[in-house]
Amino acid sequence: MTTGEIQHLLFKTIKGKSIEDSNLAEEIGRLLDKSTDSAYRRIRGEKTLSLDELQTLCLHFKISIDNLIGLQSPGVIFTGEYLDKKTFRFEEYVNSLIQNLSYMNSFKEKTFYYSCKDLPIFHHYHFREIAAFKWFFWLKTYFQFPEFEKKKFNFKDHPDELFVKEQKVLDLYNQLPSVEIWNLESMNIFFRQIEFYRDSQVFNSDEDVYQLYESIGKMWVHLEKQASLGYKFDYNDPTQKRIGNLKMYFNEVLLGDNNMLLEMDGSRMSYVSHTTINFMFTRDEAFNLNMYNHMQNQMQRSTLISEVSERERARFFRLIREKIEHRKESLKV
Amino acid sequence: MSTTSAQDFLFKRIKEMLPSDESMVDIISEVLHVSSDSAYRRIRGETPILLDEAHLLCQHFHFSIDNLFNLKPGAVLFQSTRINNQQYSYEKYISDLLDLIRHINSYKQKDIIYLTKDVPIIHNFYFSPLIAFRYFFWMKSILQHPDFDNKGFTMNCISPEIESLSKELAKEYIKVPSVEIWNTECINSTISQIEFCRDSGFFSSVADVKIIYEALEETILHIKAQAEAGKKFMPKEESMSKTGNFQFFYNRVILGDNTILINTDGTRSAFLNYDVLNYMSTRDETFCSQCYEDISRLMRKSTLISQTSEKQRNIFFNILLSKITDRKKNL
Repeated sequence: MTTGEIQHLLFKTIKGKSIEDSNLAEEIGRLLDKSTDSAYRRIRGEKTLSLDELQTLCLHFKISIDNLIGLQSPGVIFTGEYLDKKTFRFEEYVNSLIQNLSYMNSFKEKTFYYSCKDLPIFHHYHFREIAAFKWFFWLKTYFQFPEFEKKKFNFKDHPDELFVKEQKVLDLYNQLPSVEIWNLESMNIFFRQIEFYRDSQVFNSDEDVYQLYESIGKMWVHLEKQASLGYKFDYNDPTQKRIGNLKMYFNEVLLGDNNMLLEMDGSRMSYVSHTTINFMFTRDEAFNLNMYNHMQNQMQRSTLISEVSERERARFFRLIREKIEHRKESLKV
Repeated sequence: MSTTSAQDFLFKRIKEMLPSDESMVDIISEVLHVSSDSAYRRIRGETPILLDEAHLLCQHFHFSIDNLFNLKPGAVLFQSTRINNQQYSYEKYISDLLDLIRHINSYKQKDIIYLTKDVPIIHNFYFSPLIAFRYFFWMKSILQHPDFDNKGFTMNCISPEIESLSKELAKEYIKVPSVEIWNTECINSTISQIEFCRDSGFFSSVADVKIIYEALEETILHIKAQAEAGKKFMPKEESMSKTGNFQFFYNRVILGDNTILINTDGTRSAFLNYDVLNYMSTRDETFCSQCYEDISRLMRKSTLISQTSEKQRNIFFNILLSKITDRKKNL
């Protein structure tokens, strides 16, 4: 396809967007900050569009130039803030979670898919003990902040105002209709982190470890209740009022990768995790379609344990609960 | 984002894609049929590029023009490699991986850092029964290839060409100096997949399951032998490397996510695995150096068990081997 043909096709597509011929040149001139004559020269193909002008027109009229000229590219653009030790502030990270979840909730039709490798971050915030431990682990072990180097873990160190924000994250997540694909391994790394701190004497006492496992146990009961009802509700709500719908799958074949897919009013967005705690997202259609198909494939090979399959649900939750109980029993409390 | 940055982004990505010995100016002037001076002016952003030039460059380097127009701060361009059953087969995927490792080996200074979630793909390719099983599982359960719809597992489900390519890949990989960061969970998914196929009746006999577990056991023992030597080699062969080329770390608290960093003569690339077999790669300098910093930090919190720390090494590999032994006992 020649440049002239591409340009002709572009203006033909713009015309197809119900703009009358008489107004087209004026509209193009206004958008490109050119005279009507200059706009006409571009429409007639006498003057080639610059990349700048092409961008302005494509973005304004929502035209895919790739589709127009049949350009196929294996390139996918990802965007994401890299968590940099030098600039990382946990509070800001939680703020960005709030912003992202609020954005997702702003759509009418939405579904959030999560392929769990670990316990999804939102579930850290049902109980303060878990939130405090995860916060401390990130700062001490992941980011290795010097002020945490010799610090022992103490539940009270977790700032009150931070927990308020973390609960906002949970609240927003609860509103989002979700599909969570779990595996029996998904809790293992959390247990290992606790054991590692216990072995390294980062806990002040086994009583603290016990208290943490108690909270994990309570969270586990809450997640099982949510799965049996097929919706999310606030742990502190005795009426268990429905918030967002929940589909929970038990996958015995693949361990997830903490990748996420969001469907919102007909469009999709994928979040890909890397170097264990970083995420980046893309709106690339082909990539998102592939991610969607992969999630569907995982779901097909898993057992739906929310609302239905009581026996399998009981088995999944029992196996993890046994791990929690076993660890509690091994403590000198 | 202004055009200057779209233009700037385009040329930065082109630079990342070119081998270090190729001149960007020469390539641009050749693709656009302009003089070197004109190419320079475009690269520096002094001359805005026109629609036809953008088209030529994007076509030549397989870039999306839409992507250029929708950039946001911090955007990173990845090249995605995705298997599908029509245009890009498993055989082509393995063959391209082999070319990639050969390409890495063509550099003087090279290394691979692998933060692994599973047994790294290439370690699956030492022994025929495991190669056959991996191929079967991926074709049937992940790629959902129609030829495997009603098919059970047999040792000869894989073509001699694909088996040979897989072994060739392992042979090429042992030449690249590498650092691998493992966790004792890394073997779990392979075991789960064998069990899944067993429960689903895909094996015709228990003997086949046993053979696969034995191949997995031999694989782990072979990785252990390489960690002990600090050198990579094929089973029953001597290491060709005179100096150590294998560093093996045991991380107890974080399970990796198959993030791979490649360094070739000072140029870094990052490969991220997704959807089991697919991967995407970038040479974006900021992204790669941040990945490198993160992984270095994880290494500091991990135990080096290659060449040194015999006791820790034995503990680590015994945990993996005991998981296999437990499964074998249940057969």
